[in-house]
Amino acid sequence: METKKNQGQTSTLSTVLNKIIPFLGLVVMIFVFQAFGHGKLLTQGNLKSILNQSVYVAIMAFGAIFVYSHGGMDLSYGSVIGFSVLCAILTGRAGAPLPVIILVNIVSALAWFVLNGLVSVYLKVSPFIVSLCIMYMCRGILNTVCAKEKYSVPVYIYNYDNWTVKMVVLIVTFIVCYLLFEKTWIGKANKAIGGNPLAAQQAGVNVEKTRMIAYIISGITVGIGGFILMCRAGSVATSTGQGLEMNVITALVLGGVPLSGGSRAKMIGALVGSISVILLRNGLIILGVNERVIEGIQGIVLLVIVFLTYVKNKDGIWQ
Amino acid sequence: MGDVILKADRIVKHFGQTHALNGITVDIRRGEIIGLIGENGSGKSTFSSIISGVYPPTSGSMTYKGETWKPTDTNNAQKHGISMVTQEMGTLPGIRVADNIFLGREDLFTHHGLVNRKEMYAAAKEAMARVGIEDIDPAAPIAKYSLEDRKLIEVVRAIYNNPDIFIVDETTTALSQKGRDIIYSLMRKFRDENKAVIFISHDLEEIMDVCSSLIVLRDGDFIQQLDKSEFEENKIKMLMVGRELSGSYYRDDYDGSHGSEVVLKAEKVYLSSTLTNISLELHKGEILGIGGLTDCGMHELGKVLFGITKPMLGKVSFGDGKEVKSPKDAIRRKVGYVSKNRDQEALILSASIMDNIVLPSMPLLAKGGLIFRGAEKKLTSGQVSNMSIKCREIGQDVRDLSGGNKQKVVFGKWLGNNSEIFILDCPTRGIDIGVKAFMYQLMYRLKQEGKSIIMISEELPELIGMSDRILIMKDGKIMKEFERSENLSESSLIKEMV
Repeated sequence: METKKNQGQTSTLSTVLNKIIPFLGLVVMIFVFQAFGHGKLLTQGNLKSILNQSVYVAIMAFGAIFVYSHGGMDLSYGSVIGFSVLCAILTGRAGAPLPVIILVNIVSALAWFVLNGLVSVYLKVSPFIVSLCIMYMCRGILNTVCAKEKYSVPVYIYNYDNWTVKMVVLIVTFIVCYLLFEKTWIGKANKAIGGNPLAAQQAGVNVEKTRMIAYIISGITVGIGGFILMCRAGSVATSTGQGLEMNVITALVLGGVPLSGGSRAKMIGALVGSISVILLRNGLIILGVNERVIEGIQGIVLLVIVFLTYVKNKDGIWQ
Repeated sequence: MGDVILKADRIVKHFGQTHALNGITVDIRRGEIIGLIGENGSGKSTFSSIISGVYPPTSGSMTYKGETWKPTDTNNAQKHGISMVTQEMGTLPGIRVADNIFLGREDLFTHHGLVNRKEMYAAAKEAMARVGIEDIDPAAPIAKYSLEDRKLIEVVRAIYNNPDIFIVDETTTALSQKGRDIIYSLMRKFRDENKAVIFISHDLEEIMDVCSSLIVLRDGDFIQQLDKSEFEENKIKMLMVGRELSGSYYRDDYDGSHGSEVVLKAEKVYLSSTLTNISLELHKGEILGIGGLTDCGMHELGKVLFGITKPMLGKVSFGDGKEVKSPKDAIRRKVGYVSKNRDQEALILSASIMDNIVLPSMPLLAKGGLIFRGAEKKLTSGQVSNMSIKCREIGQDVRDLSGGNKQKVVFGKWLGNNSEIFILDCPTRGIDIGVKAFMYQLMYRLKQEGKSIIMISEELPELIGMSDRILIMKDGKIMKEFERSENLSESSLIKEMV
């Protein structure tokens, strides 16, 4: 509309808001939970537990943002990470050395994401449906294999459940993903596709290849997250990873990544959002909310924020 | 002169900080086709949107048929006899033609809670026949039809309950001559039935031809109302821009010479039913015009030349004989393509000016694989000042820009990549005369710098005014080639087109 020619400060303000809201949300949550949680939030033990859970959610979110930024929608994170843990533990129990275990972690997750990419990109099946099918396939495998017994890692693996490993892996993955997403054609092309695939193609983006790369990156990060989760949990059961897809999606949304994709997706948002989602769950527990109710609350929070961000991106009903 | 049907009194409209209208007072009379004219951002669309109930005015009042007029929404306005057809697409994909025509009015055919589809199709067929459309099947899904046909279906919907005020907002821009003629004859019919028509268009010639009076707006102000007898092109232009425009805006030489080196060529290209045996050569420093009716295949040809669509037979290659395989390939070899459908294909509306401009230049900007903000900013600022894009900041969303500035962003994208070959499909569609003149100067400058341009256009004056050579297409074939000359007339081109 031509009348929008100079919509003055309003849109500058919204750009700024867009950038700081994820941080603001985090700060507000910390204050609220600290104030009403009788100071239980900011204790060393609790902070450690928040960070522990945030690490693998964040690592998965660093990869997931590539898929979400081009407009893809993926629900398979929780099941695929479970599958990755299962494969790695079985390899470890067979006596394979650590590098092979890590490799199995990554390759087993990557395989599913490559499948997801091939089917949704080249066979043009809705990525949402493909990921839903993969989610069930992986969960099916976990249910079958772990039906009778829980498999545990070789004892030496527990040594890697330490802060140095976690922080190094987190920081290195973040830096690599940050550079790929914000400073190379891969991230920029994915965001362009999320904005307008036709315009991206006509500006020289190979849409299919770019989307495929997003799935590959996402698969690798799920594998890395799988290694961290394996070290932390020490075993695999039918429920390993269950519900994590919801945490990844909520992390992205809390981090200001629009589910419609596009240029507003920011890698730092994935990091902030991952801490936010775990903090939210943790804080609610501290406030004495029943754990079973938390999922429901998370659903409401997700819906409200998705609604708000859609409006902000002018793709919603409030044009 | 007819009775006043609608009176607008000091209509003001603000969108946040933007003052779109600063108090417009006009009378709309029966039996007239009133042209609403002004540059992009002058408030034409805002004004017609207020009349037709899209949004309410910030202040001011309207009187319609002697009563206060406060439409709650467009449906309400339509019920009271004010219908509008707009610039943007207004049909819903995925449902049938008849469903689109009677959207929200299914109750007309509902008996005992069920829609009688046969009755609905018959009514749709009849409604279309009334405006002279015979070849659209009311039961077919709407997606089957072209943009043009969909636009006409929208028109049928708008006039179905025989409105007293019929508003046509930039609708003709998207249409070919045939479609335009249908709309013109409709407008004249409404005029003859003593109703009022408000017509918004960027095409001055069309407006002067069709309208019986003109309202000129500029920056949200009412400037002047002109009667048919006062129509004069230069005068209207001057009122629109508020200053004298110098002479003609096309190039003024008749020297059609250019380099001899071939930079892009098509050899015996076939594309299903749209292109037949197309061969052409583009030379260095040449502006090659391609004209014809909108469905003659020239727009598809543009896409084939840029590598978006693969020809079924034949090949498109660069001067050195290497084939054009994909847009990516073409861009690497410094080709730029400006699509006819700017908002749908050429721009990412939800991304910033910078994101849009740097997109094709990523390989150029990457240092060791990394693209840094500084380099992106430098490239963008360069193009924003080079193209004098009016914007607040380079991080601003393209969506918020006016049509002319959006098109400048598209051009800036290709200039930023140091393009040598430009394929321009309707480069001046929907932009005002100020920006048009700027684009023509730019094209001429590019030619003088030795760049090559293919200009696909439905506007004959611009083809004649700018091209070194013109190819006229019809039914997917190249009919005739014209060299640049002072004596080239529109009628000689039209003869080959139809």
